[in-house]
Amino acid sequence: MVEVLGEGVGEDLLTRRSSLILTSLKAKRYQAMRPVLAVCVCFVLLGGLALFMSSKHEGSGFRTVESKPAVGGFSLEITPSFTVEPDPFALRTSSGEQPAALIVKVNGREVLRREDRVEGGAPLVAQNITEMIEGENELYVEANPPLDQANNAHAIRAKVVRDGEQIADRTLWSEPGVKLAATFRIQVRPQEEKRKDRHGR
Amino acid sequence: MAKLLVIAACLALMAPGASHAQESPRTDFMARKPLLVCSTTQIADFTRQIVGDRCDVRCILAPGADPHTYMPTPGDAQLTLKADLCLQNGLHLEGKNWMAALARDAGKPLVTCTDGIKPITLEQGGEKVNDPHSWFTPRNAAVYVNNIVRAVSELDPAGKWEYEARARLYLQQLRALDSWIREQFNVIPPHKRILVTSHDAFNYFAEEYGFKNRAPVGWSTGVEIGAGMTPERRIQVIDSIREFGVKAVFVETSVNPKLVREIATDAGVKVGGKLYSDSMGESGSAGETYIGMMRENVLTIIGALR
Repeated sequence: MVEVLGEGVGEDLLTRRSSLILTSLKAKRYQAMRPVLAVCVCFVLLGGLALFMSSKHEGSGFRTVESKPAVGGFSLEITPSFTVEPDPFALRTSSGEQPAALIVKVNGREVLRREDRVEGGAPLVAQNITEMIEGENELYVEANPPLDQANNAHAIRAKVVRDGEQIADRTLWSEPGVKLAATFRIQVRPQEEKRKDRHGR
Repeated sequence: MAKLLVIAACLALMAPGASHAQESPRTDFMARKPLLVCSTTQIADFTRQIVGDRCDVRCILAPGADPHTYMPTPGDAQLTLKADLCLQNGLHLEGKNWMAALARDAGKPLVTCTDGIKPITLEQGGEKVNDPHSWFTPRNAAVYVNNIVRAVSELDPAGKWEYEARARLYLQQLRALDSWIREQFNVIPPHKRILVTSHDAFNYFAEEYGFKNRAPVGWSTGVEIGAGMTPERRIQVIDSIREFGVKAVFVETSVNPKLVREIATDAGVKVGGKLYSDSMGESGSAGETYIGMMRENVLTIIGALR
């Protein structure tokens, strides 16, 4: 009985010892794995974050609106009521750039530019403007009066013509002491609507 | 395990910041602002108006200091060594070209802000010199602004749109300033527009706004050709004051007022006030900016001559 018990105790001790050795080996391996595990957790977190950010951008509610070029022949007639001169206060991004006396832009694109002196009262015409789109269009007019007349308010008349028909006629004003820089918006209807209107609908 | 989580959390927090910095050049650039070292207070002000907080703008001359006679210090040389870009007036405003020498010794790029300006040529003692005080018209100030915009845009292309946008606003302000000056001076009849100052700094200003300019001291307070005070110049100034019935003479913030005070006593006229000339005003004063300086000068002149 004593021997049996002795054998049993011996086996138990052996089992405990071997399990201790196994545990310490596992712990060592686990310690060696720690940095690898940290990197893995990082990747998981970063991946999740990147996924979240990309899905946020996709679902942000913005959509690209494609603008349709307006059909028809467009032209602009600009008549300054004052003499326009090259602007001595113009931003010149390159040393060879000449300052403008008058600039007209349609939807942000330059359609008319004069770098010389233009006498007041003379109409300036820009033909075949392709920058017009269906819907809302913005026109920007910038004109520089001579410095000795800068203290007066100045005016410019702008007309927009589509296929020979005037679709806008605006007078733009400047405050005394500044150059004339003004915008106005016009609606350009699709060609079909225009035709329907002509036929009484 | 807790340690592991802390490390992972730290790495995770750092990583998005780093990736964001790579995406945005502005954030990356802001980590180390470019240092722009200017010779005069006017150039420093123009530069600040254009670069905003995107660059660090430092000025070598203190408000009220005279650029003609300034002697650079070891501190200036240290500052220039750290600079990404140096800016000077040119046309020999910086006596003995001290700014060009500082930039050359430090091996730094130098921009001359008067490039493209049509200088007024002064003939003194048989010699011709270009007047360096060209910032005294807003129209010329616009040339300075354009030169600075081009230089900083080249230095920091990512900030180009920002510099150009600020410059557009500032150029509008310069235009409004020019227009306002013309309007204000309208109250002084042309025959009464005589500007007697300490030294010959107001030629551009006088030409632009219809003044006759007289000064006992030449274009520079230093020792250059055509500079300094001569007895002939002094007599000419007193004769002009009497001939044109000048009401007042003006001292300058950056020049010793003693001489002008003596001339005022000799000619029997009053001292009309102090004008900002080669340097702008102290921080907190009305003349601490270019526009403020010009505005205050105009008001001082009108107050004395109207």
